[in-house]
Amino acid sequence: MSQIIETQPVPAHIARALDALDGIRDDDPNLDACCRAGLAAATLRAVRPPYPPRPTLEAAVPAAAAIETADQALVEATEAATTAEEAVRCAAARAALRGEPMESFPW
Amino acid sequence: MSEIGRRLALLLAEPAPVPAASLSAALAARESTLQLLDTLLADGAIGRRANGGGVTELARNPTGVMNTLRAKGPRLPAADSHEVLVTEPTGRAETLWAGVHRHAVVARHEWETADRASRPTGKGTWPLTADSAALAAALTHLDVPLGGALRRAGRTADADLLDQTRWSGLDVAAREVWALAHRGDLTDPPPLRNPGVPNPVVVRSGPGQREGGRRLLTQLRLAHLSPQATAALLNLHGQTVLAAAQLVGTSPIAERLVDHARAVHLAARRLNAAATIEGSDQRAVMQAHQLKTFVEAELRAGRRADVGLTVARQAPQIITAINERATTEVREGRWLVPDAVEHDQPLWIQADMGDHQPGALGYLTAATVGAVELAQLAGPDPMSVNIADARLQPPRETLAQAVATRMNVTRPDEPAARLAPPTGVRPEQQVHL
Repeated sequence: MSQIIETQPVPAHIARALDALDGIRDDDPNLDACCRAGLAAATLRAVRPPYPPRPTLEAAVPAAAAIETADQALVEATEAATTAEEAVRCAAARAALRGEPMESFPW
Repeated sequence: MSEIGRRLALLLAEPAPVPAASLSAALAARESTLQLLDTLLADGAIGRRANGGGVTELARNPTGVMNTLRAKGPRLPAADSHEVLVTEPTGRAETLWAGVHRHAVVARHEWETADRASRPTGKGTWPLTADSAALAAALTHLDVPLGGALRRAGRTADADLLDQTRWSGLDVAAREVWALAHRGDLTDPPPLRNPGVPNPVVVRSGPGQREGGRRLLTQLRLAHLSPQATAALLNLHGQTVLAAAQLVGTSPIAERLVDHARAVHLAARRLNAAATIEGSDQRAVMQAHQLKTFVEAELRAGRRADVGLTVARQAPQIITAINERATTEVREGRWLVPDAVEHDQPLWIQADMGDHQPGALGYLTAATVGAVELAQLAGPDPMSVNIADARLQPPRETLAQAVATRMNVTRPDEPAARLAPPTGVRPEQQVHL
């Protein structure tokens, strides 16, 4: 019998940001943007308990466009954050998108 | 200790080892070296103290007598250690003394903070004992010019104390210990290990970049990582590698670096489908961040292709270590993967190395295999990793000649004559009846 792992719901704005970031194509030529997006997505998922598994998306969005969408979603997510931890995580993800990740982010 | 020994050997060869300007540094160096030996003695790493100090005891227990004589020797007030460490030395002698002080402070700190299990024990302490004998003898011989410098500075009482150590017999006991130690194996003990996970080092230079790379490998070997921290680490590493590719300039190495960044990023993306409820250590991510910041700063400054080559040399080891860390986390059941079985809502289940293996592991292995060529293309490190591996000559070797030449005592005119006045009396104080 497998153990039930407790999860927490993904706030709507964060879900939108993750949708954008997870939708970047694997072969996107802007590799630096891909790394920034990957770091931001990892930052958003660094929560306890974890968010539930998300369905695999059709990856077809250019990295630059995905970053723009995610950044806008994260602005709203920061404003709508219900905890300080969530606000900090969203801010850290935005910093990662800009290529200026927070060194002291609590992984 | 090797650096202390080397500098003391150079000082012993100086015609005037303690000019007035170097007095503060010399006193600080003497005190910190004695403190180092005190610490080693207290921890039983260089033998024990003897109950007496006579000739019989010297024959029976030379190490004990040496330790006793040294521990009973005079201790002189020295300048504030920090002041000596931060003051820029002027002349050659002062530079050497300041170096002795700095390395003695560092050696003592390293000894005290090292994993106790990595300290030598039993017969493994003979090399350290021989080194301590060499250092004690060297200090004793340098006490003579140091006493002279103190006398010239008006510190007559302190100078008198040092004059007495010249004839305390410490150098004779040290010679006995040194000779005894050399009658057996003196293979260097393994280096001391730091306990636990090393903290990240701030990277501001090429040597710092190398040290940062080494620490990152240790952090990855010792500390747990969540899938998200691993993904962050991979993306930071990918950005470092991309900056390195630009630093290196158009070349096969740059092409392979970009390939590696792509492979690393793909592995990171697959970690989106993994989670954990366990804790994660953030030091490896912080170290990767430091490495990235440094390499990108070098790129902005438009310099140093060698920084990019160092990244190419480090990359295969780093990706291998990340791969091993991720595999360990999965093998130990610390990571979760989505349950493939349909439920009302998506669920996480424990990952394993069988049917529930995270897809990221395959990508990590591919990135690891692909990175092998990078190190070959970048060639060996001219500064060599092997600086750390190169053997530093220990004091028992560097000081052997320097101390031996000082041990020669001039034969007096008559066998009945004393080599030195009785204890507590300086030559100029002797009363001639």
